[in-house]
Amino acid sequence: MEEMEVKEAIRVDHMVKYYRTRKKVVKAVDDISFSVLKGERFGFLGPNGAGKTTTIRGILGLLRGITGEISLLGKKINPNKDTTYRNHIGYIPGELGLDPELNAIQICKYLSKLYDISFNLDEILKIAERLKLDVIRPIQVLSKGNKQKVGILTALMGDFELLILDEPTAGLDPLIQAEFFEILKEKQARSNCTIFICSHILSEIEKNCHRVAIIREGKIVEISDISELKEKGLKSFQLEFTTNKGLQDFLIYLQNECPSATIKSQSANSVEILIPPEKKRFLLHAVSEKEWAGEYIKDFNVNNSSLEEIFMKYYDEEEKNIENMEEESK
Amino acid sequence: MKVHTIALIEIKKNFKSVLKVSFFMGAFILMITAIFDPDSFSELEGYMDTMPPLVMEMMGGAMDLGTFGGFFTIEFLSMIWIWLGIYFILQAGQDIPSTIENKTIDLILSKPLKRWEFVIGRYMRFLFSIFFVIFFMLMVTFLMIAVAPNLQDQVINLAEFFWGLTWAFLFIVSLTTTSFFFSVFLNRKKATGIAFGILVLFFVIGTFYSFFDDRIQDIKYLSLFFYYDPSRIIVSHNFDETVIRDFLILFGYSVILLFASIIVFNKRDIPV
Repeated sequence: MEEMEVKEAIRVDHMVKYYRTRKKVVKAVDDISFSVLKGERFGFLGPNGAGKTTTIRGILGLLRGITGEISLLGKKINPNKDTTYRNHIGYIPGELGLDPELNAIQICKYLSKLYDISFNLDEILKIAERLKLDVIRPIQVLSKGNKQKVGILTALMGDFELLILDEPTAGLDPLIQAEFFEILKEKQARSNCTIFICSHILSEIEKNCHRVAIIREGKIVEISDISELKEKGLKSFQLEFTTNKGLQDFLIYLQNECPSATIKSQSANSVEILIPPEKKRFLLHAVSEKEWAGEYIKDFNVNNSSLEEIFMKYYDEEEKNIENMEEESK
Repeated sequence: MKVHTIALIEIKKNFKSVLKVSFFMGAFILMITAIFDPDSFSELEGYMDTMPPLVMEMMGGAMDLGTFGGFFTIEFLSMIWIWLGIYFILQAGQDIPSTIENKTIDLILSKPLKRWEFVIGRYMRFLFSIFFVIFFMLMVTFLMIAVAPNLQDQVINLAEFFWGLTWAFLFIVSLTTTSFFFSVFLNRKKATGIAFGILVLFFVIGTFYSFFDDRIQDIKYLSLFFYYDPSRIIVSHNFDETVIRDFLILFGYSVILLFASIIVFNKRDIPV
């Protein structure tokens, strides 16, 4: 196996995967390339059917006919042939299936025997306690959330160097979600493991990841630090006016001077507008002018837009492109 | 040994069912033993001789209802594909598809496990189950031969029963392997449906080939039923080289199909 830069936990170059059915061929993953640094928490975002799970399953060798190069933990791998690299990976599948007759401990013991490394099963009990999971009850009587906790146990039971978590918090209540991310962060602080989280819950990626990749229709459209991405995204201005007339005058002014601004929300005396980052200076200047600031504007606040807004922007653009293409074809 | 881990968990999960099947088959042997009456069955044999050859073929060919060996072969061993084969065909046809459908396969195959280890591990469960049931049947048969009052004046060669049941073991394994092969690439309905269809086709070809046109007589070689006829050992007492050939063919068929299962499964995607 070829050695590579050890700073990268995952490196994917030009990965392509087709699904062939009798009627059609679908390009599920279309020439994607990305890398995840060692010790990083990396978010992989995209809506249903974007290619997130296919990418993960390709890396784990569950799919055949993958082209491109994959390197994990410093070694180039062929997921169709190599299996030893999986000794270093803890994995929660997006659609978790567990043997209904077994309980959490039996499942962990069973899966641990499929690895070539040894496990401290006491770790499982500690995590189960924190997640409030009864490890003795068989899977068939557990709720969806509790089954997901069992999935979490199977991924965290060993000192894996890489955790690949596909929708890890599906079915968990907010308190347990928070506890889960706390456990993840503690584990990472202890072992410097790399965490690859695949999700469409943008707030959890925003709160818990260092970097993010956005995948759309099998192609990666953005890879960036969360903070950089938010910098690049639309700016949110929240303005509170003393009167409604002041608000209306301001909106007319804004329409003339900055047509690219959009209103996110509006009430009688307040408004939240989104503007491109390059217009930030202009708007700051406008609100600090005496006419607006002194006479009409009671208060204002500037924020970066949330990851959700940035994410939606990519999809709005895509929808607009599709609409344009449809119009052109007419 | 990961094959062992996979096999063990599957055997544990299914052991109760295997035990139930074993007891059912044991009870069936008990019943066959209890109803065996050499005098009245000799008369029945005279009546059966008047039946058309087609009916005789369906009953398993060579008949000797006046002996326990003959009666046991006709009522039990010749029909074992119904008593036991269908059960294992249904089980094997659903094995891997159900693991894919209930999504448990993702957690297993994402571990450092080769695909062939998974396939062999799952197959071992069937091998063990069939062995267990046949062994249980053999023990019950031997026990009945030893204690049943109506069998005490019968001349019974235990080795013939042993080889007869060994033949049944190889036959059931080959039928199960056929179903298992389809299960590695089809869904459960298709796999069990096709395997069951093939079983019926094998039965029709292997049993009634002699009534087919002379030009297509060789079609009999395609049927597993052609290679399974325990009456040759237990009724005709004829353990010759053709019996060994048939043992080897059934064994070889299973081995080849198992290898084919590994190759096909190794090439396929595991669907979400």
